Order: sequence, then C-alpha cells, then structure tokens
Amino acid sequence: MSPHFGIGLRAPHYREVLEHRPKIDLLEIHSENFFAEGGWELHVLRQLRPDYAFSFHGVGLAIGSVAADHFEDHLEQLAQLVEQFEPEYVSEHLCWGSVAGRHFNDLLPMPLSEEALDLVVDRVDRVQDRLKRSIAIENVSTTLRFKADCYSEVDFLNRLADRTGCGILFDINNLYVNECNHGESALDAIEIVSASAVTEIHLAGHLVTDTAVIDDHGSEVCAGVWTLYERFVERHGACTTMIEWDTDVPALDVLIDEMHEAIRRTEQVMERRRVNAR
Amino acid sequence: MSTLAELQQSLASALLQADQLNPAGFLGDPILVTQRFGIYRGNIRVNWEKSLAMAFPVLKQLVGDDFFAAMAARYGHEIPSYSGDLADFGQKFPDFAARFEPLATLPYVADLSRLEWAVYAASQAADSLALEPAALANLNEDSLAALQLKLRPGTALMESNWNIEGIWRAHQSEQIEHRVEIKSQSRCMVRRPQWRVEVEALSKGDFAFLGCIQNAMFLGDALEAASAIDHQFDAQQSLVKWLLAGIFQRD
Repeated sequence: MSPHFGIGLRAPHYREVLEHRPKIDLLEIHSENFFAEGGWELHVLRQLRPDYAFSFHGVGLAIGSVAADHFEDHLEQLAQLVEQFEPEYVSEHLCWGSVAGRHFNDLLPMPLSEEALDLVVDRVDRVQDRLKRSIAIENVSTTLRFKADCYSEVDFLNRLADRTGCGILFDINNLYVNECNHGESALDAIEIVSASAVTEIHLAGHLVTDTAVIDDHGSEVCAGVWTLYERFVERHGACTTMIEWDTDVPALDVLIDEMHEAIRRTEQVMERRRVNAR
Repeated sequence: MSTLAELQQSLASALLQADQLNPAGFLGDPILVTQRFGIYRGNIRVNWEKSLAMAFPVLKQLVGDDFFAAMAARYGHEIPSYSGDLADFGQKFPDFAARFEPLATLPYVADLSRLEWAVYAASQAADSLALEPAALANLNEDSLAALQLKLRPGTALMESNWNIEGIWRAHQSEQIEHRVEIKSQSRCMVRRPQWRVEVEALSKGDFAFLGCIQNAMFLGDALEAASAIDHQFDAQQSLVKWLLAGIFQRD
C-alpha cells in the first residue's frame, strides 16, 4: 500500500471538510468521540466515508491497565464502530489509565517491565481477535520514567509487535518530547524500531515548560521533529503520516499546509535515496 | 496482587491525593518527579472540566469558569468515571449540583442541569425517523384510540418549579437575555428532530398527554387523561400538532 498523508479531523473542522471535501488521503478521528448511538458526529463520519481513508485512534481503551473493568465493554463499542466503518487504520496507545472502580481518562505512563509486556501482549491479542484485524500501538510521551524499567519504549514495542503481529504507530513528536524529558536518544529509537511494523507516523507540536516538555498538540511541527522525520524516511522509506492538532485548533488550511510539508519532505528524501542508490 | 497491579493502584491513589506519591520509584530528582507527576493530576482535572463543560454550558456560564472548574474537580473525586469514554461522565452531575452546598443560593441549578443533561443525551441518542401523519389517516376512531405511539429516542419531558426552559433559552444566543423571570413553573420537552436538539415549552395538558405516551398508554387513554388534568386541552388539536411536528417514532 502506498503511504497516505492525512490530518486529525476535529470538531471545529467538520463543516468545512463536509462542504469542501479538501484533498487529503486520510482522516484520523478519536474512536471514543463516535461511541454514541446516533447523532451529528456519526452522521458526519458516514458522509465522509466515501471520500476519505480513515484512521480510528483510541484514547480510552487503556490496554496497559491491570484492572480491566472497562475493557470488554469498551472493546465491544470499538468493534461495532470498526465493523460499521471499516477504517484503514486502527490504533491505541501504550499506556494504562484505570484501576478497579475508576477510569482516569488519561494516557498514564506505562512501566516497561516484563510483566507489563506480558499483560499488553495479552490485551493486544484480545483486541485483534475481537476486531479480526491487526491494530497499531503508539509510543507515548511521558514526563516520568520508572527506575525498574527493563526495556526502552521502542524495544518494548518491537517485542510487542513481534509477539502479537500488531503494528507500531510511531509518534516522532513523542520521541522528541521524551528525549527532552528523559535524555533518551530519538535517533537511536528511529535506528532500532522494527520498520516493517511501523504502519503510521504521527507529527505534532509540543509545549516547552519549566517542569517538562508536554505534547499538547497545540502548535506547528518544530524543526527538530522534522529533522527526525526525515531521518526516519531516509533510513526506512516513506510511511503513512498524520498531522495531529488538538489544542487551540487553527484553521483547516494550517493543518493541510503541515501535511503538504510532510509530503514535500518525504518526496525530497526519497529522491535523495534514489540518487544515492544509483 | 502483582507488582504491576500494586504499582498502578498506588499511582492511582497519588493521582487523587498529592501526599500519596512516593517519587523514589521514578528516575530523576524527587522534587522534579513530584512536579512532573502533578502534570498528570492537572490533565485529569482538565479532562473532567472539559467533558462537563460540553454537557453543562449554561450552568458554567451561570456560576463562572473558576467555580465550575472547582465543582468539576470535586465531582470527579467523588463520582469516578467508569468508562474510557467521558461522554457518560456527567450523568450524576445534576444530582451532585442539587446537593452541592455552595450552590444552595441558586436553587434552580439542579433542575436546570437536569435539562442540560437531557439536551446533551438527546444529541447522542439513536437516529430515528418521524411517524408520518398520513400513516394514521385511514384509521377509524377506535383503532386510533387503541394505538400505542412512541416518542422518538432522546425525547425527554421536564417539569420544574423554576423557569428552567426560560433560563436555558436566554443562554442560547451570544446576547444573553438577563431579564428572565425565574420563579415560575415550567414544563418543556427536549427532542432532536434531526441533528439539532430543541427545547420547547409545553402547556399543562400537553405535558400530561406526552407523559402518558411516554408511559406507553393507549392514545385514547392518554388524550382523555390530559383533558381531565387541563380543561383547556384540546385533544384533537394537540394530536394533530404533535403529529405534524414529527415527535412520534416511525416503526
């Protein structure tokens, strides 16, 4: 499949996308926003289905939570949505988010231990069995790392992909944020990631604060993230790429411009690869 | 309990109570770790507030942003979210508002927030089609009276000793109308004809009639009950009006 380039579709842009159907390969939505029985949002999605490929990106399954009160119900709702729309891509995050009796509705940092890997392998197997398709798991940004971790996040994801056949959603901005927060080398991560498992790349902006760098998805992709992105393409080839913007969402054109920047840079790097290969 | 389960349980406690955090388990300077952990605590509060603000925009306007945020934080601690989808999170918020002491001076907010929740729920309700008036055109009086009509999904009937319908309506445009008589009884219906949710005031008779329909009474009995409650109620006129408005569900 040739790579798709797309943007995250958020509520402020529904009308414009419905009316003008801009040229975009792929629209990403947050799966949970469409769990309702009916209503306007699902209507929007049905209207757009014929014109766009879809990526359903989950923020609430919390696959790394040991307590799984919510898991089966949530998976069932996701399965119904996936059956209805047959999206090209489905993904979740490498995180936890709930304990018995309470869901925190946040992407909490996952301990990267052997026990955690076994748990996440089991959960991903369950999701893929129910959905009858493979999903991708995304590396997240965190402000904290556990002392007891025995894997790097990419190592963890490589092993997860190897054991479950799942894909990796490689978020380059999150690599950059984690390099700032923990001194982990983003270039090393790009070097060792199982490239054949990477199904999608995420690009976004982040916020630098005194305490930590936060992936608020509230600004343009920064130069450092573009450089890492180019390095990925140079090393592993072109890949489906999404621009995410969730805080202070700007005009649709700003997102589309960012998407074109990703296309331009991919083409440039691919051209360089061809020249070098000769 | 496994190591991972214990760890998640202890982090969960620390997310709800700041003094429960043991920074020793994390890499880096303990003071920085504590500050960074606080970012997650903040995110969670923001998510609670955002999700409630989507469902209760009028209440938020009435009490102000800071008060609303503090209220959301108290609510989120007290009433846990059980789902990975925050859409249902506000379900118990009207009851919480009713017994939230700092709001005791605004006695209408409990009913107002019930109305707001009904509006929000209607926006998410299953899509449906309206029963066409022509479908009843050939029925004689007896078969008409024996019909059991259904209100469309998302429809809710609300009654209050406060003018919640008027207060809600005053907050629907940019120019908020401040002169609303709040101390008057109100009855209204929340419904979603297609994609937009509407709230409309009801007479005593219409409220009784639609309440009977909601309770699955036969059409004839429902009209009769409404006439007994409200002498101004015109059964035929009301039935025609609501049929034309498309409030009944097509099977």
